[in-house]
Amino acid sequence: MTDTLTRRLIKELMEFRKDPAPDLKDLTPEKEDDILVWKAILEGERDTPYEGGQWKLRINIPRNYPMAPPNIKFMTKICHPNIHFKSGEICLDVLKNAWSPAWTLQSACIAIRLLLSNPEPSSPLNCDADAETRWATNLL
Amino acid sequence: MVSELSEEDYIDTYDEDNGSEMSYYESETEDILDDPDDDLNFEVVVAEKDRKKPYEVDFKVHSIEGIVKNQDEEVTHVANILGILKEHAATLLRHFRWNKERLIERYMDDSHDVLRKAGVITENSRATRVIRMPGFVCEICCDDDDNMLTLALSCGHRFCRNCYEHYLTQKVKEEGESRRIMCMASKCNVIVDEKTVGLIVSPEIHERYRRLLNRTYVDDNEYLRWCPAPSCEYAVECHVPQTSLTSIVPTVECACTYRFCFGCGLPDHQPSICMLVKKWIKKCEDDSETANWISANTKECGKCHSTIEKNGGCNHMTCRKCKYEFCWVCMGPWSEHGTSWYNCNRYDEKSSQEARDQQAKSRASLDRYLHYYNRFANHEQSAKLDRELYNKTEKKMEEMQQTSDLSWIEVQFLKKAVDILVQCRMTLKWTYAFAFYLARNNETEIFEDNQRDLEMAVEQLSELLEKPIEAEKIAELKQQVLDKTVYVASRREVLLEDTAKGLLENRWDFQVNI
Ligand SMILES: [Zn+2]
Ligand SMILES: [Zn+2]
Ligand SMILES: [Zn+2]
Ligand SMILES: [Zn+2]
Repeated sequence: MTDTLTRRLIKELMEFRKDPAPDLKDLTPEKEDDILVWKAILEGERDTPYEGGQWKLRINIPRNYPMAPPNIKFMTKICHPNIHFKSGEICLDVLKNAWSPAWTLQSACIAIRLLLSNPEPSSPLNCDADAETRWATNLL
Repeated sequence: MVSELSEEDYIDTYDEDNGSEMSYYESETEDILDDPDDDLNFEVVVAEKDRKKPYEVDFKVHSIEGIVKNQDEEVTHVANILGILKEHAATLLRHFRWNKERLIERYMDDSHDVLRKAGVITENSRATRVIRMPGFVCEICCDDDDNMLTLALSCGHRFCRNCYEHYLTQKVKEEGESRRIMCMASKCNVIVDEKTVGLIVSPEIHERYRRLLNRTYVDDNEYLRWCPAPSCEYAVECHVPQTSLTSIVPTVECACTYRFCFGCGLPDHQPSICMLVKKWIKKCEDDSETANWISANTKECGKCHSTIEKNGGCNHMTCRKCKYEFCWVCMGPWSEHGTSWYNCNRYDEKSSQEARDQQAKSRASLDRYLHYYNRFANHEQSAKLDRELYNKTEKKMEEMQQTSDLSWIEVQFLKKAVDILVQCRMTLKWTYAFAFYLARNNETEIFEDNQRDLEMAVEQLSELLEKPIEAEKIAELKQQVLDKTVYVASRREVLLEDTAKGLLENRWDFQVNI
């Protein structure tokens, strides 16, 4: 399986370098000797409160990837209803039970960036941020 | 002295009750059999006994083999009606949570929509085959070996066999998934059918997968429920719908003898309906701090104030120090229970009005709650202690066999008596939750009378069972226990019958919305 896993991850890396998604600034293994820990850098979408921001993600890849989803966390502090302010954990269905082995690290990062501009208030991880969102909605 | 007096009392009431019950049966049988004969013959009595009581429901116990067979019959039936493959029929049935009628109705209405939502493609689909496909690259493992085995579900998304095996093993073993395993392509909802799973995974994983599927068959089916007893593998079928739970308490008994409520899965809670049980348990949890001290196992003797621990199910207490006899529930002297026997089950709102008027309103509702909680907890505690009585009873049964000429079979009446006692305490316990939510009307008094009669009978039986054995009085004791057991069981029946009928006839008013 390790050979297969390495082959798959190398292919993912090549595909990102060949054709990177617009707001995904970086996606690469963090250290040379460990292919199971990656980092990614997201840029905030234009015309959203996140425009101009940059967020670092850490990606831990399990041995049974891609049958099981990667574990992705925010390393940069962010205030968002579906992201835990302290731990950086992300509440997103495709990183849990909706994961399919045909997803890639890149497509997972894109899904996370989409979550930034489209929060899911029904499944909040961070109660305080959720309260703020609702408060902000009330003001509008 | 006390017990002799009461014995006479009870024989009186017993005869009366028996008489009235007989006449009730008579009038019923006349209607049904149109038999002008006044005497009840034996056959009629048997027929009456076999008839379902108003508080009983029909149910069936199934083994795992039975469950598998049922599933297969349903699948074959639907496959024949809709003219589709069995594995597709199974996926559709699972999607519709085994509601066959609804599936067929929707399918006739709009088969495309049904198939799409359930993740089934039937068009020119053959059973999935594993094939070699030179030049194919698996999108998941990036392998391109020409000898590689591949397969695609009816959606056409092709991957290598190895990846599918890893995927299915992960789903079954790590995630405990069975009926909702989808195609590996992202956003494709086509279900991996049973046959395909069987084709790919190891026998060990396949066995696990089958077990999970059987589990969902019972879990998804409104009319099936696993027996909640630990390590019991039977499932019970009962056709009382969830919507009837406000008027029926569907109590079932598994082949393993465990009795539980089919509606909510909790242990037998007749005569309370599920929704009151839920409310009551929640209330007791919320109020547990206040109630804790009440359910404590010790009390002070009303006379000499020494601490007394309750060590048996019986409520007739005697202080070891001063020999003061009192009732555990109301703490009143036992002698006052002599003729009225058990008058402390009633929360007489009139006589306690004065006392309550002086207290704050919240205090009154707390008092009211504690009144019922106290009695509820008392029976729960007693039922637990009665389990110890089982052990004591077993020793007693041995003792009886040694000191008299009674055989093993002939001493079984003792165990039977304990069975009935524990069951009646269970029923009594829940009558107090029922009574707590009951609003006072003309019917309440009948309920309270039945409750008191059962309570009284239970305490009498409990006391009899705790008597030490005297060799020369065994025959006498046996007769007393036998009589009392029959009587207690009949009191329970009367109470359950009346409450069940009242629920069906909408005779009870509750203080909460149901
Ligand atoms: Zn597919
Ligand atoms: Zn593959
Ligand atoms: Zn059972
Ligand atoms: Zn129930």
